[in-house]
Amino acid sequence: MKRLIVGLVLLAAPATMRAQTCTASPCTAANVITSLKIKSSVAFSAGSNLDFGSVAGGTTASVDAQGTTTSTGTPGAVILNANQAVTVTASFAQLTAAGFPNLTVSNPSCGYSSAATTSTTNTTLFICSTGYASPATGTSALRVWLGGEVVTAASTPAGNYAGTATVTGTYTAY
Amino acid sequence: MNRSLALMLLFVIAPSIVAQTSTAPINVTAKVQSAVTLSGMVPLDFGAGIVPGSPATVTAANGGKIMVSYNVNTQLSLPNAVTLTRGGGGSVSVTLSCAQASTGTNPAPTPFATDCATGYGATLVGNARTDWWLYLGGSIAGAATASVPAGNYAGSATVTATYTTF
Repeated sequence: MKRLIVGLVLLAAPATMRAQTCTASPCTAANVITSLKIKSSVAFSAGSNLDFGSVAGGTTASVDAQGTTTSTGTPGAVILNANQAVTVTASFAQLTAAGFPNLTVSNPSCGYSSAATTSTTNTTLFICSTGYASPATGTSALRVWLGGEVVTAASTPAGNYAGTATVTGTYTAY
Repeated sequence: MNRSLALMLLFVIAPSIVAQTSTAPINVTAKVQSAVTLSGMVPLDFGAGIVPGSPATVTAANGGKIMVSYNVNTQLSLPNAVTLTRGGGGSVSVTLSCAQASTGTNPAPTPFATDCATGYGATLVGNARTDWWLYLGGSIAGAATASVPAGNYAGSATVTATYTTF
């Protein structure tokens, strides 16, 4: 019974735990496994605010992630620095003004670029809710551009409306 | 008269019963074969994680180790550095430090005289098969971790045992 137990234990032991016998000199049969972990470093910083510009009531204010606008708006930007792959998504809260009906951001537009400015040339669009997976080897100063549309009604009160857009990065934490 | 006759007879007969010897020496040899084994490996692990850009060091006493059993004087060596790699890309160079001791629980093993690659000459203790322990530490420069991807890196330091084969 004792022999059986010993035999089973040896069978279950990892190969690295077993003795390695040299069969000739020099012998290089044995290795000391070496390992380390580099911790995650993922950081967002604000680039620029998203401004839908100014529109007349009953029209639509539009600015997309590549900077195309119908309302003298400017896209917003968030800067990502990461040492690993990060899936970036974005969501938009309603724009509010005290006492007035809220305005919803529709047709959200997202893009990314390595350049500090956005354009149809240097910004690649992605679906905000699905997200963009940045390179596994990391990113340095990657711009995430945000835009969308705000539909107003003729009855929409004039005023300044404000809200927030949230950019979320999802990644494996090391 | 009878007595003297008996003595004479013995005297005459004696030489014929002395033992004769003849020697033919032969050589007797034996060879005990060299036997060197390495076992009981403990990995060298840099712990919970390194913040990018930060240096890291694990002393030999707190690092990896391996036991060498040998019945012949054996030169033991390791590389001075190893490169750890990550699946999907990225590598980190680790400078190794080596030490040795007669037990596997020495809190202050003796560093190799020169470096890991030059090695350590393990000799028999008490002219008998001997167990000896190698300890392995490592250090990583801050710059080596600054721009590499996050994740798990792995590699191995190969122990080389050089000895006379009998």
